[in-house]
Amino acid sequence: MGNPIITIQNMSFGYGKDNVLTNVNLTVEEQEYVGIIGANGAGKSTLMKLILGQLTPVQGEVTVATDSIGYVPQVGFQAVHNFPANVEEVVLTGLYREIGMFHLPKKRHRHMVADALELVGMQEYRSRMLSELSGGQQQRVMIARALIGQPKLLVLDEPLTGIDREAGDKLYRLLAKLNLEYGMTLVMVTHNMEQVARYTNRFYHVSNGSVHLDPSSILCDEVLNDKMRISKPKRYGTRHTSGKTNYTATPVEVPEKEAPYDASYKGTRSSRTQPAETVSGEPQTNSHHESKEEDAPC
Amino acid sequence: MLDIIQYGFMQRAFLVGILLAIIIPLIGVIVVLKRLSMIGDALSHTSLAGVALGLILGIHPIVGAVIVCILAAFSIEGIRKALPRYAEISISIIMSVGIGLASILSGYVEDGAAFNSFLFGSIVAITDTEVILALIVTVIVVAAFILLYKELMFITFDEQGAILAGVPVKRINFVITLLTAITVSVAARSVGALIVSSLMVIPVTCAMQVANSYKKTVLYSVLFGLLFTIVGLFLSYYLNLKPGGTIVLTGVVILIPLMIWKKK
Repeated sequence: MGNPIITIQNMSFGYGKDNVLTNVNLTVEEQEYVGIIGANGAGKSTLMKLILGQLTPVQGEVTVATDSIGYVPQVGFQAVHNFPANVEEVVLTGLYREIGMFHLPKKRHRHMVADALELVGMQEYRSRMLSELSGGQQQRVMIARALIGQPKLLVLDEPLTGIDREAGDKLYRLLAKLNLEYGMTLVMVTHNMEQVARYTNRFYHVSNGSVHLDPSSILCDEVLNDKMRISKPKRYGTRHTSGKTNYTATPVEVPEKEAPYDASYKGTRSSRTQPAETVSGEPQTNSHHESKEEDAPC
Repeated sequence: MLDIIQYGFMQRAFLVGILLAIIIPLIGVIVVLKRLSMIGDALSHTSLAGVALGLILGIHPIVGAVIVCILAAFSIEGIRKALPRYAEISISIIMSVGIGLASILSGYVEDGAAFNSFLFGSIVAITDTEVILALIVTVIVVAAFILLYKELMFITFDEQGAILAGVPVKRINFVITLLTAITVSVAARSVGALIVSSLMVIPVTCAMQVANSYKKTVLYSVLFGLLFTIVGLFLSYYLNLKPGGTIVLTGVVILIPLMIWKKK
């Protein structure tokens, strides 16, 4: 188990007199992939804003143990649709901290953009206007923007909004790759139960103002340790003594088949202990229907 | 053909027109992309209240307009923050207050002609002082835009993301609000309070039809602004039309075919 990267203790939040979240306790550890699910209006996005520091809790504490945070907003947010910027310009905003105020991007920053786009399989769209891309492509660009600063923690808000199923599957595989290969901690807010159950380590339900860890998503220590071992992280960028960063980017390749989600399964999610299969070098996550009791070591 | 350049008033008109054609679209890029296109309208209408106040109190009307515009701009920003889901309401509220105030105060203005000159502008009646004022404002706006270029892009694209990345969003918004108010006030004298918001929006809309990057959108907005102003001034001189309205209508005439072309 890693160190806690997000800790929420006895936290409550409301708008005026209306309590949106009450007495929330939640922990996300380094290298985890955690889902936050719930119906529309349940308070998921509010919880995300509290984690990002955009809102302040009325009561309790929200501690985020890093300022290296990447944020992927909903692709449906209105600015993306018609904003007159090309892909490179958008991804460059992710390097704001590195470039600094009053400075212009340098050649190496543009190389970093190229590598980040290659990582999400969008290198050919570098000069295209964002508004000309499909929803899935726009979301990949937003992920590249979040990744280029090499964040320890990546927070995603409804990454599937407005995206067709095929594009959504590609995105989820990319996120799983970032978690499994590069050890990036992911927190994903969504209402897509199927994908959350398939890809995340564990997930929380947000409903009626409270947040509960889904019991079916709890991994026992042995399973979790095993999982952490197979997901020994590597950096997706290697920093050289010159200070320049070069990505070891591998384009996302989509496996031919993906096991269907078994919604009837309620048991311990032990299947993630299985070493990930690879297709063209890409690790695949396992859906928990693959092995139930027979694989469960705990 | 170029005999109009011989006249001092036309030289000043061209100089101020060119300066405004650079800075109004620059401000326009920000307000259009922040989905606050009507802010120019609200501020320019409110500036009339400042003009009337200036004329009543015996101070320079532009100074009165600048003060009232700054107050109005920050009130819009304040209401927008208080009601984030209804950003446009803030503009409507302030515009209503501005028009109401301007309407009442104009009744107390003795020099009606001076007040009316701010409605549709009087670019050919610009004084040397006003030329210098326009020059100073232009230098400040252009410098701010160059220095804060990538910050402004980030904020207009994704304000929450910009905050998270450490962009001093509040301070930059403060600066831009201030510059918007000053630009609108200065421009009201030249092109007219009722027209200045069109010059904020039309060049940017034209640029968005043809540009393939943010950088080009900014650049083309300024180029379209310059084109409309220069062509508009020529047309107004030779056809004996009001300059402010001619500049804006020139822009519309160019925008319509561009929009049709883009749709194809």
